[in-house]
Amino acid sequence: MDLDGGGGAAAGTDHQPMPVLHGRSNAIKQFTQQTLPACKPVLTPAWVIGTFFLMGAVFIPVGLICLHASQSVNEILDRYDIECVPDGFKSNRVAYIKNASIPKSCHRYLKVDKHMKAPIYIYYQLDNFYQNHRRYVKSRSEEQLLHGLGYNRTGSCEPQASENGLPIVPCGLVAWSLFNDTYSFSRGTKKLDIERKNIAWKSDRDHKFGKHVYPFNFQNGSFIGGGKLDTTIPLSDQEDLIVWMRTAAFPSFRKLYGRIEEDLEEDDLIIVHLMNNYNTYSFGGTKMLVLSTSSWLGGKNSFLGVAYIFVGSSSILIALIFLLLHVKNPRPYGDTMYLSGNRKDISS
Amino acid sequence: DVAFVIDGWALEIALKYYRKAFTELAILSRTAICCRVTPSQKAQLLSIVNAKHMKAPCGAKLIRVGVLEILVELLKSCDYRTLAIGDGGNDVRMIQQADIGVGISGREGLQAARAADYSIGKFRFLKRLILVHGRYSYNRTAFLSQYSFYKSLLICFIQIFFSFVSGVSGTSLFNSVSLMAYNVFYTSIPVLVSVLDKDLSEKTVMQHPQILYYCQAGRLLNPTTFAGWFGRALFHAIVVFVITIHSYAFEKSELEEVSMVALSGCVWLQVFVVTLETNSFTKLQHLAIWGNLVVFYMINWIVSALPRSGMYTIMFRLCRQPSYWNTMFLIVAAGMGPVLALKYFRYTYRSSKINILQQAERLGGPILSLGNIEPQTRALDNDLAPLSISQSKNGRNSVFEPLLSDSPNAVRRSFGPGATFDFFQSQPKSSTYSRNKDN
Repeated sequence: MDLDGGGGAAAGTDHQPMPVLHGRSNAIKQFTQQTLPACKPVLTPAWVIGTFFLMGAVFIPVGLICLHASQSVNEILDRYDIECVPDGFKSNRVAYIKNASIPKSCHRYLKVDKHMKAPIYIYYQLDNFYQNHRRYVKSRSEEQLLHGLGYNRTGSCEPQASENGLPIVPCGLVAWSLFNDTYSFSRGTKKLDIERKNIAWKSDRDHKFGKHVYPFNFQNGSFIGGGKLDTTIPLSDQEDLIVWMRTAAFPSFRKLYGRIEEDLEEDDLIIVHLMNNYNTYSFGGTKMLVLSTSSWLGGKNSFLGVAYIFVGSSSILIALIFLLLHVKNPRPYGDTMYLSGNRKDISS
Repeated sequence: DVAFVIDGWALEIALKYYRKAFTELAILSRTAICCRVTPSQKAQLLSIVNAKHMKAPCGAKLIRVGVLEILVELLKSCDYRTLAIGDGGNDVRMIQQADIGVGISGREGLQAARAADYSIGKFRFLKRLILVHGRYSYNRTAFLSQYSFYKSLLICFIQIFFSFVSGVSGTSLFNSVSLMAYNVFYTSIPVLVSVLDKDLSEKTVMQHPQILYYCQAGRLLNPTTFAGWFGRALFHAIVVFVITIHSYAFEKSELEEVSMVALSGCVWLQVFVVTLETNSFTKLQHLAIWGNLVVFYMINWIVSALPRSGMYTIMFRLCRQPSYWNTMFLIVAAGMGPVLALKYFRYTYRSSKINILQQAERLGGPILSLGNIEPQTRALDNDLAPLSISQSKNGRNSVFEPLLSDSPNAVRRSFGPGATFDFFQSQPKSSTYSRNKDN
């Protein structure tokens, strides 16, 4: 192994100069003898304090920019699931929602606080709806979404794989629980046009949902979980279904319903005609309607801005503390007198 | 704590005239070096320790013949870490018996070298083996093992936290491709090159050999250090999770995207953790650490380009979002800021001996050696120069000629007369790990 000793230890015994190797064999020798040139960074006070100051100096402006972007987004939220239940059913909402004969239409009035620039995104927000539950997430069949009835290994979709002996397309709990509230908007007497196309991901429309797959035997069972599907439209054009099947990661989420391509002025009164079909009352969920503009950072979310400012100011605080410590209590750096062996000799 | 060195001739006298005292000495010694004993002496020593009226304090079972094997067995049964070094065929059993067997290849053939854990060319290389290579190996092993726990704990904690927001149903936040690739591709390469990491240069170590004590007795790998890494994993998991769920809330909360954001955060944090824990950066380490980040993105871009994968287009979508990069930098800053501050604080104001030597070394000036040794010991190599090839002249026949002709001078000089026993006295007999506070 180490017959001659690496590095300097052999220099004593062997007084001949080491032969100089070039190129690859030198590099290999350096690697195996662990003598590769290395840089050893040091945690000197100057570097560390400088790093923290730099971090603070960069993060605080970025945080302010992010906060400004978030504040520039205008948002209207309206929780309608409680209000839209008629008076007689306020105490028994589940019975109301399950009874198909009760009309589910509802009117809501939204006031626009600030000028909202097009495009304005319409979202429905659900709370306490666990689309990330394991049994729910697994209950779908990607192959069947692409190939339809041609694919029959839909065991993962149980119990929504077949009904009355016939396969269900699209199978699974995710599709079965399709959200089916509808909204239409008018401003004064004039109806607002809502763009309902291009709300799903393009990659989903093109590659995940088949262009020749049509819904079959869908929502025919005794338990209705959500909306029905038009059997004449192929799955790749059923954008509501595609948006719904992009499972959300957290129990509180928003999904895109459509877009308004006009500006909304300040003090406009928007009338929403909605159909309150979807049952969130059985499990204590809530439904909200959201109208929002967007910025380069996305929707209204002040977390990033606040967090950046917090981290920036903390690092400036830490830098100041370290600076104070360094000035008041300068440690002799690298003084080997602090080795305990030496300290004992000094004291004795 | 005592050590003794004895050769065959002295052993003969000791066994003949001072048997009882010698037996006590043998059992109570911490280190024993014996050489050139005859077979009859071996049998005598065997009978000593087997004698009914003299019990070895740890109940050693002696079933082998051979003095040195007996001693090694005795010391091992008392929980000592034993190292045996030899160069001949008769040393093979002892070498295999000890915890660490070192064989010297050369004068008496290659038998001992083949049977040993480590083989060296000359006896004096033992110092380098233990002090330089053994110490580096311990440092690297301690880092590697704790880091491996850390990176797995990080992922596990995030999964646990995610289960709290997914109805405790067991949904995995990360898909199976990512999990597999995480352990194999994303986090293993930087630590493969940590095998080149050196916390102190060889020259410094050879000048301050007492630094070896700070790498023994579990100083770098013990429940305290492990708790530190565990706490770091928990802290980083909290940072990644909290930042991810808040920056990717509401309309951005899509399972695949959130999963990839969390995983990216983990990988970025790993990169900086390895950077902070590495003491010396060679080109290979730079390549491995930063190249690892590039590999992460490459692999994810490739998987995101496959239409059949669950991750189709996810990485492309994320890389185009400014909020993704904002989230990444926030995770790195929030995760590494406290770690850096803590490390700097301990390095400067609660320096361990290793840190002090590191600082002295990097300042570049002359490293003051121990107070009561003359500065000429810095050129240790010159001392070893005259003790070279004279061994070959002396044959094996003479019992009284010590094998290790260069050992007394070198050993004494390199450990220093007074300082060594200072360290010995502060340590209790059974080595535990609670001595970190001595640092």
